[in-house]
Amino acid sequence: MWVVRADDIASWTRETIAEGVKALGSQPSAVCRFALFRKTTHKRSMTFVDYVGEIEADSPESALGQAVEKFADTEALAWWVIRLEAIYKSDPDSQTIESWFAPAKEKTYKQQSYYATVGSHASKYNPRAAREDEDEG
Amino acid sequence: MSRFGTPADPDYSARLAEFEVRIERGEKIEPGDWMPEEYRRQLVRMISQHAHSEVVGMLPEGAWISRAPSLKRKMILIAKVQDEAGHGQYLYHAAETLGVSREEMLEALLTGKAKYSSIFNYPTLTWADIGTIGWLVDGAAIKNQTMLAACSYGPYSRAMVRICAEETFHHKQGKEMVILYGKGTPKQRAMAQDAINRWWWPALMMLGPHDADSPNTGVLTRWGVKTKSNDTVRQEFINEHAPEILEAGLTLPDPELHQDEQGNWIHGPINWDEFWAVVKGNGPMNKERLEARRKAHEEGEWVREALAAYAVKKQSAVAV
Repeated sequence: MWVVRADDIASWTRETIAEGVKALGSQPSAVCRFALFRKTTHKRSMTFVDYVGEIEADSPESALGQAVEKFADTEALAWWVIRLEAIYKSDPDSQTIESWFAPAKEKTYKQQSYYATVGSHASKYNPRAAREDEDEG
Repeated sequence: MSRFGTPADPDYSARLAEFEVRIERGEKIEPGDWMPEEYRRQLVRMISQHAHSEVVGMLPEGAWISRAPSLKRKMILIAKVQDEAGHGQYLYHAAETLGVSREEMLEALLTGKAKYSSIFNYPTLTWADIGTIGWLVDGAAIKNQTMLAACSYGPYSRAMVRICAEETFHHKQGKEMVILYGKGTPKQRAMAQDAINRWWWPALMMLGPHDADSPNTGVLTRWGVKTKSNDTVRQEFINEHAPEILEAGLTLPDPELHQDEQGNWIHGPINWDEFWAVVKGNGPMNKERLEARRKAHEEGEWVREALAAYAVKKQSAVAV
């Protein structure tokens, strides 16, 4: 798990890049490594951006410039550029990671599949269901 | 330079035209993108009130945690209420991306300037209310939120996707409970039926006024925030839930409810006087809900002071 303060995220959208707007969260820095994250689709999603890689640069703007060139395979709709040092990373130990998912395995009552109910699609009060039954004979 | 345009700006018309083309193309508007100030204002209102609804919604259910009939039901209810606290956080965060602060949003709630969903101004009178809220209220919320997951503002649409994933658990646990009571002892059946009788109409009203009476619908539809009308979402809700409630051996408190030729369930007239009275602050629990929130805020003052003092302490330690 990676955690970073909102203030340390330099973000641009395609629109703000095109207009040369200064990034939200852009802070000057000496040469250092930046982690890069990119949004590539307008489709419904649980996440805003996905991790694509790292780059060395002397400012978030310069890192963005390199990123746009390096990752030109698909048009980015938004970028996040974050100094690696600003990211707190959790212990990669597999037992630690496993422990986070333990409650999910025990607390099955938090899953909708735990509750066995029949839906309206199969109800005799739903004429569409009745018609489908007839069709299947 | 402000990214929130007003008609007074010289480039407003051109910007607005581009913005509306983006909406038309199904593009997401992200924080930092140009948007009309009115779009921002409407979203701040909607998203913050949605967040307030999650947090205030914890109150009617929280009242029954200590009185759950079994340990299993208690754990399920605690998990549900906990989820709602989290949903409030996702939504306050989404609203913050539009430049409003938590303090401002909380102030609006506690002074009664901001609203929250009308449904939470009703009391939970029996344990069966808890199951009924899960089935009907979360059921209506899922229909509405699924619609909003397609909305044009990125952070709000993404928050909807996350919330819907958890909401299905809330819906099913309630439905399972009420169906079980409906098939149970005469006392359980009566309790379940009484709960349905009291929550059915408020759940229908929760989806908002008829489209013609909905003041914000026009601009929200134009700018891709509302992707379906109130009446459409309400129809989807009834078409799913009416057959299931009848299948459970329970009845609906609507003598005019009937199906049309296409199989749509047509409801009788909604008592909108009740809805507007509740919206304006005269529902059964409006006063109590606000008092509970104010009390929680006052009693939490010492926690906020402690956090602030600790932050200052950490800062000066770093500075040295």
